[in-house]
Amino acid sequence: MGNKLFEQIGGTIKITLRGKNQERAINMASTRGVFLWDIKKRGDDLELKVRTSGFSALKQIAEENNFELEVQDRRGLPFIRTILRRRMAFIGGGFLFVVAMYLLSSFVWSVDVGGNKTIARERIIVAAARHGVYPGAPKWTFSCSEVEKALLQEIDDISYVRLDLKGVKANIKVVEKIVPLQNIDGPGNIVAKKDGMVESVLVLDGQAQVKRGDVVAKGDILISGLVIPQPSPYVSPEEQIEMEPSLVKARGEVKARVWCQGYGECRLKTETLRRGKGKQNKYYLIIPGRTLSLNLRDEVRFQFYNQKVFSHLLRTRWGEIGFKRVVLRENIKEVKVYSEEEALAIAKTNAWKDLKKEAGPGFHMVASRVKMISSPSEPLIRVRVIAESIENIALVQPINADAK
Amino acid sequence: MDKKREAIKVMADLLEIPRDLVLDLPKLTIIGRNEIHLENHRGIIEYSLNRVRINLSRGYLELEGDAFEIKALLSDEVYIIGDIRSIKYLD
Repeated sequence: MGNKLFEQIGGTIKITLRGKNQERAINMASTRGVFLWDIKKRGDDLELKVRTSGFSALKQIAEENNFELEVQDRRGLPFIRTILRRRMAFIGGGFLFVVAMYLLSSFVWSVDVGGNKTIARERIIVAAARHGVYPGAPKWTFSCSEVEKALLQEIDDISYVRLDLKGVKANIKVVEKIVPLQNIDGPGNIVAKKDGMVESVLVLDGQAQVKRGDVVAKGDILISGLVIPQPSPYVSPEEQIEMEPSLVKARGEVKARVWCQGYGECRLKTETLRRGKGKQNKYYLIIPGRTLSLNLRDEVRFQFYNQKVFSHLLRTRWGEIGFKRVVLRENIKEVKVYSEEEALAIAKTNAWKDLKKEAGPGFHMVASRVKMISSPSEPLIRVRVIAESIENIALVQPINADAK
Repeated sequence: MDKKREAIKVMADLLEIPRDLVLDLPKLTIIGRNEIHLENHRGIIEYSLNRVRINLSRGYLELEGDAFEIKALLSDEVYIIGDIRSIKYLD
C-alpha cells in the first residue's frame, strides 16, 4: 500500500503513541486520510509509522484526545537535508576539495621527454618551455598541435614530435632524423681501420702499398688512390712514354690478422651491496625558501641505502611550491670469499666479456690465449685474454685533392 | 431500510455488479495463515498482540492468534499479519 520510494522522498516518522484506547486515535487518523503502517504493540504503547505530511494531523489528534506522542526516528530526504544544513562546513570542505583538485589539475606539473638518443633532453625541454610547456604552465595557455609544429620547426634533427597531456604530466615524444651515410664519390685511399698483420691484399682499383706479412697500424694507407705509373719492363727506357700520376677511388680488400684483448679480475674476498626488502619514504613540503619535513621520525633506519627523489614542484614567481618524496631502499652488505679456482673462473668470464665488448660484432676468432697476470701476493686474480682474428681492415678515406 | 437494501441487492444481482461495491459489504482476503487483507471496514475496535477486533457495516470481525501487527491502515482498508488461530464474525 505504501511506496518505499515516495516514503524516502517525502520522509517518514516512527512514533510511539501512549494513552488509553489507542485504537480510537488510529481510527481518527485513518478517517482523516492519514496513512499509518507498521502498527505494533509494545507493552502498553503503540508503535507506528506515519508520513511527514500526515504527522501534524496525527499530532493534533493526539493533543485533542490526551494522547502522548513520542518521535522515535526520522528517515528520508527532508531529514537528510536538515542534517546536511547542520554540516555546512563539511559540505564546504568537500566543495573546496573538488575546486582545488580541478584548479591544481589545470596546470602542467612535470614535463617528460622520450625517444631522444642524440638530441639532449634539456634542448627539447627548453624549446618546449619557449613555446609555453613548462612545469607550472596553465594547460589552457597552449595548444598541443601548435607546440608540436613549433618544436619541429625549431629543432631540425627531429622528424616527428608528439605532445601528450596525461593529467598533470606533459609527455613529449620525439623521433630523431636518420641521416644517411655520406658516399665518397671522389678519389680515396683505403686505410687500415685497426692494427694488424697483413695476410692478403686484393686490389681492384688503386695501388697496393702493403704486402703479405707487413705489420700495419691503424690509419696506415693500404691501397693508395694516387696511382703513379710504373715503367714497363718490356719497353726500353728510351721508348718509355712518360705518364702523369692519376687519382682514383681505391677499391679492394685487405685481410689482416688482428688481435684483441680483454681484461678481467676478481677479488678473493668481495664486499657487495645487495638490495634488501626495507623501504622508507620521507615526505617534504616545499614552500618558497624552506623545505618542511612531514615525517614523524626523520632518522634513516638503514646503514646502507640508495635514495631516489620524486618531486612535484610548481614554479611560481615567489619560488617553488610542491611536494618532495624521498624513497630510501635498503642495501645489505654481503661479504663473499672465493677460492682461487672460483675467482679465476669469474675473472676469465669478465675478461671474455671485456674482449667481446672491445672486439665488436665483426670479430671472428681463430685463436685465443688466456694469461694470468696477477702475482701470488695480490689479493685478487687478474686475467688477460688475447684473441686472434682474420678480417678485412679496409676503410675508404677520401683524398682531399684541393688541399696542398 | 431493509426494503431499500433488498431492492439494491436485487438490482446488483440483475446487473451482475459485485455486492461489496454496491452494498458496502466487507471483502476479506486471507493469504495462508498469516496475512489478512480486509476492505470496507469501519475502524479498529480493539488491537492487541493476541486479538484484533474490526468493526464492519454489520457486526464485527474478531481475529485471535499471536504476534498481530497492522502492516497498513487506511480509511477503508486494513492489512494485518500474525499467526492467525481463528476468525469469527460476531454481531
